[in-house]
Amino acid sequence: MSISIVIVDDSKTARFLIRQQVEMAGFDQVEFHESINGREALATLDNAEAKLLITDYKMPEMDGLELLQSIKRNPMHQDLPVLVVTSFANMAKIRELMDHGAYAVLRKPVSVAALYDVLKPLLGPIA
Amino acid sequence: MINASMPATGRIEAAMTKAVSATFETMVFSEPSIQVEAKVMDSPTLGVSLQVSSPYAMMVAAVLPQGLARQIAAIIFRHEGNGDTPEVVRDAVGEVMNTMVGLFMQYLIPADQLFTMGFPEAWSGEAMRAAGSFQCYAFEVEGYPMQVFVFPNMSEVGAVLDPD
Repeated sequence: MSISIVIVDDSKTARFLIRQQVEMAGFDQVEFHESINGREALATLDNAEAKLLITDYKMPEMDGLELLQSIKRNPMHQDLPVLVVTSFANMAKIRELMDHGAYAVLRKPVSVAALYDVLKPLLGPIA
Repeated sequence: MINASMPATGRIEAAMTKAVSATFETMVFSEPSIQVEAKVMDSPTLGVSLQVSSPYAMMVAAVLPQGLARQIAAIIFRHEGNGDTPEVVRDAVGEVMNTMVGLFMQYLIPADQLFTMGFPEAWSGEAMRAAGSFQCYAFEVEGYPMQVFVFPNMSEVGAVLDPD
């Protein structure tokens, strides 16, 4: 049975790289839903039984922090783990995002090993 | 808010070199080599710029031949075979640039200091005329020349990026 992951990034390239790296990390039974900003992602969440949301930080219309705050305020989605993948990930930004409820923050460019370490407790062992 | 003075040129160069190497090795599986002198590029070229607004106001821009831009997209999208439309090529180079400038800032400023930057903007490389005060770093990637410019003085940037 496949699990559902929502990927949010305004760059098609970034969404493709995340999708590819999740699969390279061994999680190949995944149904991906893609959104180009936070606003679109919130609509996607209402229609997808997502187990994880992976989002960029810097996006037009609604950025990753605003999306994270909206998710944590919504009783329907507040338990959804949010992984932030960003070019802004120095210690100050990581602390800010974790304080707002991010499950984890990874720095671009993401390594498959780092992604695996973050995803394994959420998605379980690879079959 | 701009609340810090720019680091010395040597620190900027070290941060840029490290950021370019880490970005290309991870995203494009290529090892850029540093060039002492910038080589003349064959037209057409692609320029991508990205503004940093804090803790310093500056702009970072890269100029590369379209052949290298297409190759970057093809390497990233190798399994999907859709890396050759102009939009995808610009998006791929923009994401490489976004990652590179993010790393550059992480190497440049203290880890406990926030920084902000804008979205990548694509230009024709020919429109990116180097004017005013800038630092240029030359690389060779996949056999192609690539130049990265740092414009530390934003008041001069408007004169540099006149669209065609």
